Amino acid sequence: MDLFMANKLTNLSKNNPLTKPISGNPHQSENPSRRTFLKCSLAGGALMVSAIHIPAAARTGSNESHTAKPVRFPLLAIHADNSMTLFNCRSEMGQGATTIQAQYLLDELDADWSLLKQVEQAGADPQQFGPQNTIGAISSFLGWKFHRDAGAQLRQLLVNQAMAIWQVDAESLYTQNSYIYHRPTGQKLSYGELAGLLKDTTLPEKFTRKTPEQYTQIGRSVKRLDMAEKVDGRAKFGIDVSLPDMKTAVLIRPPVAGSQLISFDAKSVKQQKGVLDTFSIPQGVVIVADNYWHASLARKVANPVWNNSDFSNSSSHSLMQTFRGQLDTPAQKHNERGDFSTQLANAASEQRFELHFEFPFITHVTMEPMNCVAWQTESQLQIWAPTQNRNNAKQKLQELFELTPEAIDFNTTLMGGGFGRRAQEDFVVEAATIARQVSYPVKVIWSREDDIQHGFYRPLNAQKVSASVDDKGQLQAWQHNVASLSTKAWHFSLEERDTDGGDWIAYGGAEISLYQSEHFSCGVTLNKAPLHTGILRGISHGYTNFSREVVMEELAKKHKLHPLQYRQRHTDNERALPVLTKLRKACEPYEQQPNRKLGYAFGFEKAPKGPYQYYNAAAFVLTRSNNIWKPEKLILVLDHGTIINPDGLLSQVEGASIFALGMLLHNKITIEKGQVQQTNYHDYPLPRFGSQIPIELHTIESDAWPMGVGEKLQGTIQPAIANALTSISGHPITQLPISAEILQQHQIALD
Amino acid sequence: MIKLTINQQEITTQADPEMPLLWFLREEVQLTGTKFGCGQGLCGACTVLLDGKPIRSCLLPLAQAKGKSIETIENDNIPELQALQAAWLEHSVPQCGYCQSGQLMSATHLLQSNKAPDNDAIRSAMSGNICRCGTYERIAKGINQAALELAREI
Ligand code: FES
Ligand code: FES
Repeated sequence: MDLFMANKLTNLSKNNPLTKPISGNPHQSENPSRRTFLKCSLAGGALMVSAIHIPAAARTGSNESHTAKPVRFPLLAIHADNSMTLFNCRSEMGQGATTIQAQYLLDELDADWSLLKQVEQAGADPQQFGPQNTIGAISSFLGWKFHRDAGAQLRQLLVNQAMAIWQVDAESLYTQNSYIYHRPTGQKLSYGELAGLLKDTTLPEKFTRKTPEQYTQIGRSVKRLDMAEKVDGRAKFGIDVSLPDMKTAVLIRPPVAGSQLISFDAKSVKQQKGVLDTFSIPQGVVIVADNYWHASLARKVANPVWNNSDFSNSSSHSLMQTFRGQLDTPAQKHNERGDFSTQLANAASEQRFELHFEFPFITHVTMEPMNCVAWQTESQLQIWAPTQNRNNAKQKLQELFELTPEAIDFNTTLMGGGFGRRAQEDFVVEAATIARQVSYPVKVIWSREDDIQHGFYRPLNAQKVSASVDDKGQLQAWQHNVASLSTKAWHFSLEERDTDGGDWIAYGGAEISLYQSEHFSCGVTLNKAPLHTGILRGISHGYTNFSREVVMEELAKKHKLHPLQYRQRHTDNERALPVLTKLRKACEPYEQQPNRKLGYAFGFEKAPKGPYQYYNAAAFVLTRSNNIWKPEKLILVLDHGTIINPDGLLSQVEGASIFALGMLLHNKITIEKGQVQQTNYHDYPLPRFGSQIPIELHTIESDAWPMGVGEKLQGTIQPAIANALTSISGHPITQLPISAEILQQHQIALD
Repeated sequence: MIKLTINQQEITTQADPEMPLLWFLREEVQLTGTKFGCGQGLCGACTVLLDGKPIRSCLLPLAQAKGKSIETIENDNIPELQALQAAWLEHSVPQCGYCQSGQLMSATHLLQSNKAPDNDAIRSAMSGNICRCGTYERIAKGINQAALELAREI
């Protein structure tokens, strides 16, 4: 078996990536090696506010990189006719990133929403402009300060201009719907007119941001800007990009991860209808044809022969066996506190509790399969990619092909789903590698089979949670051990790749708990394998929080306490408590009834420093009629900070609940002899129409930094549903997906 | 040579008759609103109407569309589709949007064949269309609203 310890015994808590969160870097502005500021300029009658990013090398004066020029990054333009153009600097996957940027900017600017006439996708910037990555529900978070400041400063600039023109003081002016008014005379000027009169575009240092009661766009359910084109076929996703003389390529990748190509039948491939070229690249066998259909037909005659890697001796079964054996002797310890082992050894048996958990490999299956268009012209490598992570992708291309940033023209398209899969740059690198060997533009399309068999997988993992309690049931000691695959070799951020921090996505969440316990330990063992592992909606919280919440529910029941009360007793966190209290209240009407059963869960993330945090809790209600248990509703309470778009939030919550059902009931990738066994939606099924659960959503009013939602609920909804099932069956759910037999046995109809 | 009608327009083509209609629409006539999701008839992203019936265009060889009439999401002349599109916007149905052409074409056929579909009818008409973003709740709302609107117009 090709497995060895990825890490020696180390305490990595110093490297806890929460201090440099994997979900982009909210503390970026505090990082002295990088700086981004705002600048205003006039171009062709339009007033444009931009972000200027000064890369580290430019400011330290080091000449290590020719790429270190300041970079301008447009955010918003006001045109002479008072209309506006938004430059979208994030990847749009339907999570509302584009619209949220506009809400921030236009609110602080006091602009008229209906004058926002155009949205342009900004390209990938030649330097690492961190905030451009769209991972871990980061859009609403990072723009909170930056985009609002841009709007507020721009507004102040226009106000100052009006003061100069009318020779009046600030108090006599007010702004509304893209106009400035002089209160005493009723005179008004549009922002567009004012922009044309500006002599000096220096943004004022003195400006004020709105207070929550002044918001006009923030907190409003504005319609998403990317909606109209998505109902009539106009929306152009990556797979829809078309260039003159473009050809289509497919790639045959090794069935066993980490294997090398020995040979393939190029002659037969070339004889196939429509085939233009075939050759090998390090990633596999390339077939280029006049269209996708011909390229995919020609795959059948390629007969590739592979030099299988040692991973061909592995199966998901054998890996899980190895992981199970590692749970008692973790290779790394995180956040140890007190003396867990002595405490546990001395506890009476009825005060000890332990559960083992197992979670399968799962994969994203975004509706739009991976694809990318690449064209190597004489002067430039041109890319059109549906990516969540354009900067990393571009930087990787620069490194691989030794190109200057100017030599790559990177275009990000709409994406048919992301869920973390499009944070990886593999599909962009493949397309570029192919394009550099041919003279025409080429579109690489992955089949669904390619997507499922050669994706990035949330790693298979085993966990053990051990706890001891005092005679009132209060936690004394808590240990959460995880054994899984290392994730660092493919970490979606190049900065974290191959660092210990890059492994956090395999166990994150287990090492930090809001539940007080004097003794605490998190032990982790990570194994190396050539199979691609990575983030998937919910990341590791999807399973580490699952285990924690199943154990908390069991402990509560064991001590005859209400599961929410039990959680309340274990934390003094000032944002967690109101969430739990509100959920208890919302659940009351459903509790203590013979034909209703509930399960509960709590979830959170909290960076050690800074505003990156959210708190949520869920209850799942099952009701019985005609002896069948059916879902009645999912009750959720969220404190994810300021709510930017209530309807957008609800839509993310609805989607998250369906996604959670997929993981709970269906999703499982198995590996035999090193090969992924599943191929398409028949053996990797997803929830279909009819599986939707009625949702009752409560939110906590908050002016804290806004956090995303869709991704953040996976670790909460799933254990709530599992705990509800447990309250019927009496057996805690410790393995996913939940087997159909369990559901049948207890007459539960979930889907 | 194959003749067929797409969105009321007659087309004659020399394209490979074995090519699935999906790829003909997307790559030969640039009607990219119809999407590729699985290529195996499992997800419904490629749904179009063939002589009024919803079919998975990824499975239908172009030759079998000979002489037939095809409607795609780009057709702006189908009252049921128009009503659905308006309802889709009203309820902000799409998230990533990739599955929505297929959803809308399946729903169009549903409303063409059943003016007032109940929950079971909606479920059976829509269960062939996967939405990975999980927009099912809003799809249901959209269909109900479009049905009401259409009934009002008559
Ligand atoms: S692409 Fe045709 S059903 Fe999925
Ligand atoms: S809206 Fe994304 S797959 Fe349906």
